Amino acid sequence: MVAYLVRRVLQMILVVFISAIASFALLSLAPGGPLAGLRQTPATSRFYISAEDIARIRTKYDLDLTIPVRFTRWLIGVPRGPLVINGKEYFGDLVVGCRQPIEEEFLNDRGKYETRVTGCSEIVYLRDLTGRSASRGILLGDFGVSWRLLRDRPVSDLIVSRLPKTLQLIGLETLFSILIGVPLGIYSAVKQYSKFDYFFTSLAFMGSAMPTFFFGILMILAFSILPRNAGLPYLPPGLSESVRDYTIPLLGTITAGSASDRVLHLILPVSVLTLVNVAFWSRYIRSSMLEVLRQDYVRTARAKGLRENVVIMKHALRNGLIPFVTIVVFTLPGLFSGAIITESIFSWPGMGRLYLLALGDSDYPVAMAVFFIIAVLTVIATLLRDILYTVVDPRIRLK
Amino acid sequence: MADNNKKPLLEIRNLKTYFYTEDGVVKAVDGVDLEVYPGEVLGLVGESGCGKSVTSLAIMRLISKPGKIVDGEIIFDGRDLVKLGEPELMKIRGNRISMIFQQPQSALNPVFRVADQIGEVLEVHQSLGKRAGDARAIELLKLVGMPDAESRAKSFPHELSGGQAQRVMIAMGLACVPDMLIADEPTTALDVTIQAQILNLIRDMREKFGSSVILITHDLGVIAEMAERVAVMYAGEIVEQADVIPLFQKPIHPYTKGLIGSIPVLGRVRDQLDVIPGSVPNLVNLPPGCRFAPRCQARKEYNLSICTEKRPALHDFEPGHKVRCWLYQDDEQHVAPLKAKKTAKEKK
Repeated sequence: MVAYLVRRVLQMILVVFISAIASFALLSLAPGGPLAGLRQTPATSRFYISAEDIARIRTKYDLDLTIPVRFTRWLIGVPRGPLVINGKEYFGDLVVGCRQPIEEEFLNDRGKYETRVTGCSEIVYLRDLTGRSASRGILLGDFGVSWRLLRDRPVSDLIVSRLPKTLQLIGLETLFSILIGVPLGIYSAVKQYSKFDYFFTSLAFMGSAMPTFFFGILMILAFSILPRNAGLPYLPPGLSESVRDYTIPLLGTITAGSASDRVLHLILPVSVLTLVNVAFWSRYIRSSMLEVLRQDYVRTARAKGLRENVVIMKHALRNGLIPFVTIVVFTLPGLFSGAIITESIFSWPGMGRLYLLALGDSDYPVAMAVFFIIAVLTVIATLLRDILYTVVDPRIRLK
Repeated sequence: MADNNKKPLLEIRNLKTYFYTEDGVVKAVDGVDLEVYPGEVLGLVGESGCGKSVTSLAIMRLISKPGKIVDGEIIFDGRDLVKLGEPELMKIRGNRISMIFQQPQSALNPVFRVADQIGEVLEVHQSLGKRAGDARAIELLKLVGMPDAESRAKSFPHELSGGQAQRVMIAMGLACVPDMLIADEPTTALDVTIQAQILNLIRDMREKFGSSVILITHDLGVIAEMAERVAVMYAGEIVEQADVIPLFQKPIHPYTKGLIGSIPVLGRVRDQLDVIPGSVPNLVNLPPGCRFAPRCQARKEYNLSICTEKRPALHDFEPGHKVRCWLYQDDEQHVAPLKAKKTAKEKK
């Protein structure tokens, strides 16, 4: 068991490392980027940003360095300058990037102009990195500073401010959808082909087919906009809390930021996510239970003279939950990453929206931090799943 | 030979169990009459799909959708099981009638320990606590000859061999000293050497506990070894019923004759085994007359037309020997050829 765990943890480190390289490289190679907009301003403009300005910004965000160097500085915070042994510098002349690339425009095959880097007017050497500010590396828990969303503030500040909101939303949603979905799935399986089963499976099918961006807007319309216009009690359509006090018919005045204000804001997004996921969980449990109810040991349990309740809730469910438990742990990364679409619909200030904003604004340190944490949580969930497997299914042993 | 003066423990009258499938109504059991006397071993024999298992599940009232008992009575100890409600049935299942199955390893729940699965029966029917249940489970495991019973009691089913798993099933079945044990192909899934051990065990346990046994099998060798009385099933009905020795020595139904003729005999060299031509009829679309008629050689031999027109009834051929065949049974239009022959012989 210990040998197994050691082996698994080593594998996990490798997987996280590879996924970090892959996502860092993909993000760096993607067209656009944080400097793309700066070049667009014409030379005559009051906001003209000169080539020197751009070079300064490139230096500030490490964008002048080559991708491998940037990656190691992001991951572990090195290199920070030439190697110094006994007061003597080594590798100081190593080229690590280019502060001012020479760019020329070419007419390409399709008859369009295209900018290509043809050389470098100001090379960055390893010794130039001395004194330049750098993070301690993501491995040591330093996610660096945000480029755009909260300029020059640590990424961790952003995450800390967003994470509780996502934990609330996804935590409640997962709890509700499992508490509702699992019993519904069991009942539906036990009463297979009954009216309830038909009704419910069609509903669940619709639920899982309905995109949240459509369903969410429908809910905002039905429970927020229309009742408010009609002077009826309504739910706030977005955000996690209100900026100023407001009055809801029958409920009275709600103080901005109060507990009731926050609960009211939670209702709509939690309901939308719950409805979709109830559909998912119940369908999953239903099929897993149907499979189990066909097994010989369920017949044996009945032949022993057990009550039908015991047959279902003990003998069948205990087996039916084996695949369920292993899938439930994969809600763990979701607790961190949030729900991108639903959070956007309801302007919910959670991790999902942060992620989307970071990508849209080319705030790479933020995006990479989210990437990295999701990758770590996913491999942890995988290990957790495998360990849980042995707990719930005695037939499985880790070797 | 069964003592016919004794009152039967179980009496099945005209049992019909149909399955309502998309392809039509499958008449898995269609008018079965059967009785089981206290303490006897009744062998129920027939090909796969002839309704043996469905009959046994009907006795347990464990037929589930789309199956249904549509007609008949199952009188057990004076009460008709078909009419009993679920609470009464639960008191009978596992307590007064218990059942062991063909695939012992899949019949045990993979996630519970052996002792817990045996103890559960005692908890339900004898209100034994967890501790007492475990202790009794170990006793039972010893009784059924489980090697190293104490540690085996803590095993999970996947850690047992097929034979051990079947011993666990038997221990579970006998936990409450039932009046009747239904063994549905208890040895089919086991190795030949283990088969003999399990059969011996069932016989020993029958003697020790005095339970009646319904032994369901397609293996005539097992029947000859174990049963006192035999009922032969074909296409959802009993075609012949007799004590084991007369049945093997003097089978009278053409199907039984065919079955027994198809057993290879040690020391007798034959170019090929006798086979019954044709195959089992589709239970959705049964032939109108005798169900065996399309495959019956005797019918052709005696050129009987009634066989394909009218279904014969199960009737006494001799005391204790019943058969469902027109060869031995009169009708308004015809005189049974073999019965006529027999009476003529007796007159001489």
